[in-house]
Amino acid sequence: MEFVVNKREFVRALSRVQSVADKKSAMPILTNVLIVADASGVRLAATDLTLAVTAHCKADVRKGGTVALPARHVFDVVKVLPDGDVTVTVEKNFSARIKSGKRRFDLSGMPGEDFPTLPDPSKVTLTLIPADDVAELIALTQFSMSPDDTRPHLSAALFEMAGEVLRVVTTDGHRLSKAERKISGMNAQSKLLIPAKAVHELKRMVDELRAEKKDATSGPLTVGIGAASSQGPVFFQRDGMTLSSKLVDAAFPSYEQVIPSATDRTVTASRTALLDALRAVSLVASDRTSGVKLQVNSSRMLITSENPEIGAGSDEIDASLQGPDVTIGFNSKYLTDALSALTSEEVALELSGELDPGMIKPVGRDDYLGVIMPMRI
Amino acid sequence: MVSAVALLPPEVANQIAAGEVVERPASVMKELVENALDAGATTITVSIDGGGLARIAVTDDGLGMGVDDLALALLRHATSKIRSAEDLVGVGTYGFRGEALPSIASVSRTRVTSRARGTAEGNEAVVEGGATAVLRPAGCAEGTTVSVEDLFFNTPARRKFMRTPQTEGAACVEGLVRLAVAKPEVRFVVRRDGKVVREFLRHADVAARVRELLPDEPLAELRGSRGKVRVVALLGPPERARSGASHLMLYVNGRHVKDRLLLRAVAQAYGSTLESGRYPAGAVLVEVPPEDVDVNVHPQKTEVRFASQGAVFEAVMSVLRDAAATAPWAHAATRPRDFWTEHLSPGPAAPTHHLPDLVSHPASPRLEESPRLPTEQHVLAAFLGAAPDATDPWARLAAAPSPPAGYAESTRPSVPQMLAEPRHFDAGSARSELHGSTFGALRYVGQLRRMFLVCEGESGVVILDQHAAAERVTFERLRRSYLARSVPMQPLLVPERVELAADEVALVEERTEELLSVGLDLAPLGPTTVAVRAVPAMLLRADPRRLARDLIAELARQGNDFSKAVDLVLATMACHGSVRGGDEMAPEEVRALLLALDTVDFAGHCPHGRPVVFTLRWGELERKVGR
Ligand SMILES: Nc1ncnc2c1ncn2[C@@H]1O[C@H](COP(=O)(O)OP(=O)(O)OP(=O)(O)O)[C@@H](O)[C@H]1O
Ligand SMILES: [Mg+2]
Repeated sequence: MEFVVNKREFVRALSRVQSVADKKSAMPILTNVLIVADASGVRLAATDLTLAVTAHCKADVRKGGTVALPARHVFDVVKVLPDGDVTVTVEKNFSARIKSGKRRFDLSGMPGEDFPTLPDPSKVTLTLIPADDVAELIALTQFSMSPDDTRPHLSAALFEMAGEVLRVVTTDGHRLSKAERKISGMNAQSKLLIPAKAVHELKRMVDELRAEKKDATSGPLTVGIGAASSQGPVFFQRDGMTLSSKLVDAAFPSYEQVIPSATDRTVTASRTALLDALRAVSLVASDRTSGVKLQVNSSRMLITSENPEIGAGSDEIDASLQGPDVTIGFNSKYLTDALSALTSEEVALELSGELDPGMIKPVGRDDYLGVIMPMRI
Repeated sequence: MVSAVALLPPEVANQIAAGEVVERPASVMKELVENALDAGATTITVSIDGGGLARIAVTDDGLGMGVDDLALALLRHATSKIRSAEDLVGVGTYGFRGEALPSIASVSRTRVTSRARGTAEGNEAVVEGGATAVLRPAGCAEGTTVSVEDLFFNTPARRKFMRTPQTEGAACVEGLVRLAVAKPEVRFVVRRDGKVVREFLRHADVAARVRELLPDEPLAELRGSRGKVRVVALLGPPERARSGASHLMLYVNGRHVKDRLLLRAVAQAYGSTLESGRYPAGAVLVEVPPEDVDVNVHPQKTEVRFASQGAVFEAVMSVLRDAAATAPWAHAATRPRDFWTEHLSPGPAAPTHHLPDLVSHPASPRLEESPRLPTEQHVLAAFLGAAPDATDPWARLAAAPSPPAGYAESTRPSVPQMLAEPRHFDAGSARSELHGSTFGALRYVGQLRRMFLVCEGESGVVILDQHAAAERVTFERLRRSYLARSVPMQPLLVPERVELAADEVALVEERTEELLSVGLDLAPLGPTTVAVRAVPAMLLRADPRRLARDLIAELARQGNDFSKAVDLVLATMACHGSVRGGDEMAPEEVRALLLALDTVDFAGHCPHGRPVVFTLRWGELERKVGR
């Protein structure tokens, strides 16, 4: 196998896959990237058996073939090669010579055939979604995925396509985020429960895409999304790169039932003022519980926090309340996570009793809704 | 002078024996059902009224007794099952002492109605508080009914120790479940307060019975033998292991036993996939030649003594370990090549784009209300020594050094051991390890094996166990807010359902208030289900189901006195809410931990405290390198 490839393109393709290679895996082959050279160029792939990425780069392939090389090392050595053409030659014994200018490295590899077979998106129909929408939906929801991967259904995001609406829902069991966007021209029906790790990789993919193409005038940027079947795997695709992931094989809580249909009180306040006050006051909340109390009357909101180990803090901001006065406790992080992901001028907190779930919504838009269980302080 | 030594009158002797044999309604139920099984019954009906304190009745279709046997049965040491001490060796029936019936009769109002097989007429014997039996003919079916009313009516001190009827009744049902495992060929019907609440059907083998009894547990059937020891086990996967051994039923020659040796064999067979102190749910049945085991070592026959402990341990451990390789949960360990195969064709294809051709998937059945068990694909990979996955908590555990193999050196502490030896965690050990300095003054150097935190202190190298340290800090915080009666609680959006044993659910019912005081809001939903509605806000990262399960198990072990149990309960909670061995810790996290350790009152109570810190003094270090 032998090919010549532009260093920058090679580095970019490698950086896209190497984060997925499982550095700590006891299965040695998974710490590698697979390199396949054929008439269409060079493809790189890595997988941790839940997630897989393939990246494509243009190359002058002189002799086709495949090899698996240690992900970390290839990436490191290619990065430090001089700019320009990189020549990669692989011998029968799977040792690879990587060379640019006078600098060269020899890395020993493994047969490409040992690499797990990766999911093939070619028969899957992908729905094209603007990258901005995907990025915003993830930003509005990713903070309420559970970090605890022993409960996979909570450490995941539900992607729901219903007609023209793409909806992303996440919950860690104590709070829930639901964000949606209208995707004009879309007409799909599906529900995919995507593991957190894949959501993070997808975010990386769309962020990179948006950063790269900021100045390009070549029309809207899109990512293709589609699943091989309702069991998965799911594919996310941009030009030159495909991400695939298994779906979470567990039931997502039926979120509609969690969203209160009516509440007794609506508090409206400036988003930034509330965010600022919460961040300040929670400095003295216990680092474990971050509990804050909100006391609201018709025109003001008093935010207090108390911690026997540290002390107490309070702040007051303008707010308007429809309904009777209320005092309610929350984990301030649950509020600040949502507030900092939102962009609206004002937010509304819709509350009932001090034990009933509260909702947080941007004022003037209906594309986000957060449900937060109050804390019993 | 009147001689001070006299033979006790038989009623008193019987009451003393009853103290050992009959502890609570569940022990009465056990003795009666064992008698019915010894009599060769094929259907046994157990009725429990008022938690068994009002009435326990056991009806069987076994051999029955004639009038003479009936009279004898209620006399102490009257048994039809052995004739001499030699018969005790290799005893094949549950009963052999002739002690159960008279003991029970001495502390209750007991009525035995029986008709021997093939005879025309039945008889009835009535005994009140151990007085002499009154016999009379009675009409009844072939077989025996023993009805025990007003248990402990004449021993008020004992009666005071009884829990609520709910708890006592649930304990009876649990006890019956344990008996039923070993007798799949017998049908059991359980009534509580007149209603049939459980029925166990006849089965050809143990496996089917255990699956019937534990319908929610994904059990693997493991069989094998080594020499004269035969093992049949039905065990759940390691990730569903419970804290403590309360869900693991052990049998020796059909007798339910509590045996540390067997527990350890199971734990060792699971190896490092099992956190210490946790055991899988299920049943392990061991058959050894009767002459190799002594069953007469415990008044309730819950312990046995093996002639050759080492051989039994080795046999059980190795059979389970080898058989586990074929467990269904082990399927995860597929070779990587097969992994994606369901969906694909060979080789990664060049990325192509498609027009927004509309995907039409029918609404997926994925969103359903009752959460299904996640099929954990790689859980057992580590178990089998195959590829662990970095995202898999079990793999992380597996990557940690495992205790040295071999029975004698086994270092895994069993649960009873852990409770018996509170780890030394007092002012002496932890503080003095620092030689007068504070934790906050230490300079953090780095993390070793994602388990230990290495720091430089004035007097030497200070090494902390990250989990033990974090657990200790969380414990302290929990304890303080518990004492201040303000444990902040974070309710769940959707309450989580947890399957528990019936007696555990009864315990939850009884202890709802106390559980709230430690920040856990549990509500019984059914005879074996509770809902977790809120968890302590400090333990947001803990899995509510596991937390509830472990806490209830801990509580059940502690018995009656909640105030005594509370430290262990808080310690269990702290363990859940803390950084574990295997977690990466950022330097800022370590700083925060060190500072928090200085606020810990080390002189306070000691939960399951292991030593947190160890100092390697400079002098010692210098000596080692020969300076
Ligand atoms: N359900 C029954 N059917 C037939 N015989 C019974 C039944 N229950 C008791 N017996 C007879 O009564 C005797 C005494 O029972 P008891 O339970 O007191 O003693 P045991 O079973 O022999 O020994 P242990 O005290 O170890 O249980 C038994 O040996 C048996 O002969
Ligand atoms: Mg008996």
